[in-house]
Amino acid sequence: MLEIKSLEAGYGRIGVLWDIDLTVGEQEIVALVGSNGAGKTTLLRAVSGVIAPTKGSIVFEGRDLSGLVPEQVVRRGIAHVPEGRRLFAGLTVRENLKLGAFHLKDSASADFDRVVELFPRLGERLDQIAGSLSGGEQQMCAIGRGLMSRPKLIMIDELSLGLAPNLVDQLLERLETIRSEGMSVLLVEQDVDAALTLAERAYVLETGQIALEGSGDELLFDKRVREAYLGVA
Amino acid sequence: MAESAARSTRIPQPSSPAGWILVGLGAAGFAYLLYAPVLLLESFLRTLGGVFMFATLALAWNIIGGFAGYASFGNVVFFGLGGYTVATLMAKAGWTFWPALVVAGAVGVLFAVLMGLPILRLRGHYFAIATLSVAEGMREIVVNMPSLTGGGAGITIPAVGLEATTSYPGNTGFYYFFLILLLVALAVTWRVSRSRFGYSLRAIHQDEDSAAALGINTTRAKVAAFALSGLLTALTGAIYAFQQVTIYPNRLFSIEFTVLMVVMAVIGGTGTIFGPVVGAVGLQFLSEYLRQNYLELHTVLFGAIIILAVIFLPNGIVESARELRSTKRIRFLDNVKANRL
Repeated sequence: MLEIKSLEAGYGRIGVLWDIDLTVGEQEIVALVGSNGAGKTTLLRAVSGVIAPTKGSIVFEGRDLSGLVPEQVVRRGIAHVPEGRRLFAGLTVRENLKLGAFHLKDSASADFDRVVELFPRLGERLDQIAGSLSGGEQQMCAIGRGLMSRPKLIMIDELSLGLAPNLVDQLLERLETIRSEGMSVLLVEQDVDAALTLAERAYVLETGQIALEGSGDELLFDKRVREAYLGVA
Repeated sequence: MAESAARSTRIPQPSSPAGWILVGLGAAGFAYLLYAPVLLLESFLRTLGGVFMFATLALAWNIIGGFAGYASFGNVVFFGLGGYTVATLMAKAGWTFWPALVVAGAVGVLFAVLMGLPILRLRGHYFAIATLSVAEGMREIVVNMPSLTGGGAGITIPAVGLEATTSYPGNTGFYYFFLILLLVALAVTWRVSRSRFGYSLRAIHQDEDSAAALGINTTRAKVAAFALSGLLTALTGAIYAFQQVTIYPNRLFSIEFTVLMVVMAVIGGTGTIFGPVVGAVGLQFLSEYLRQNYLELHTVLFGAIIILAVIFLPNGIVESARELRSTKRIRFLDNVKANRL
């Protein structure tokens, strides 16, 4: 459903991504791993229209996304949960979630109920200011806000950032639920072990290029991946 | 979305007897204001009209500066343009006041859109400086177009005798003009506060990139907020110009006005509905009191009180009062401790 072909992108005259080919299928969880500065976040930003690619194409459900600004990409059905959550810290959880459905014409109350069902902790804190939530709750709120836009593909940047391992497992489990409801997930992760275990397919990004790709299990047992990212031989 | 989201906005809803008493007092106060011209001295009416004027300016600033978080330091440009539109149309083209007022509002909106499209791309201090420069530049333009604006010598609206196109409304008339405009500004703020549009502005204030990523057309929302602010400010300037009869560029585009509208909104509480009004009423009466009792030190004291208010009540009077109600205390020193002042 998402097809990226020979994509190049960067900031100003500085190129970051070179010749990227990547696909995400229907109801597929795809992981994108790689070290700091490899270009993972840049790739997500290019897809969601925050930066414009300098070359190549991004096609979603058969339609080219090039030239679209973020609010148009959201309308096409791609939600981006940015690195560091980027919640509206001064607004309540309820307001954050409602803003996720900003572009929808209806009241999105069914979506709201579903998010609360998925993350009961949020339900207990609906009128709390988002900035006062714990890290895990903020990530739930950020994912929930992404889901409120009724996406077909949700892209999550650094889900595990600053979170306790057991909480990460819980959140990853939720991604499985989200997928079973018909969505695709593109997950950027530093926690390579967790990401590869969950994902059907994965890409390893190195200095702006795809170094490896394969099924999650293949990469998990790949010698190079184990040495580079898992610190085991 | 707008309806259900509105429930969690920060509008005080009368939920207790005390709340209803407040609403009752508000209604009584309003009735009094309507009837005031019969009861009060003309000079005091003029003072009250000035308070209403500043409250409207602060409310207008609050839309762009408080809700959207774009601290404009050039809103006086709309004030001046509104005033000069009315003065020029009435003095040079022989228009009556009401159509000129409508054109003044349109000029405010148009200029806000034209100026907003480029400079609303700037954020933070850069936006503040750009707006300040636009206002200063506009004053220079007005000074240097004497055939149209009268230049630095000012322009006089024909207000009496045969030349008057609209008879001068007097202190009572202007009192009502400013009161009505203030009520309009309050109604607009109330609507904005509860609307989808208002939420998009709050989101932009909190994190503009995230707001865009959620499908909010941030450019459109910011320009619309600026235009609304420009409209209300231009209408205020238009009425002010007619009231003054003779207007000068240095007065209509004065930095003092810019600073006052910002300070009033900030001290009262930005992003709230009544904050700017509370700030305007408080500061105008304070200023008046100081002027009458400490003629020589008045500006020094006024400035000192503003500085202290910002240090000890950084969130504004309205937010602090709300805090007092929910936690039974005001943390005056939080800001001092947090920023080691």
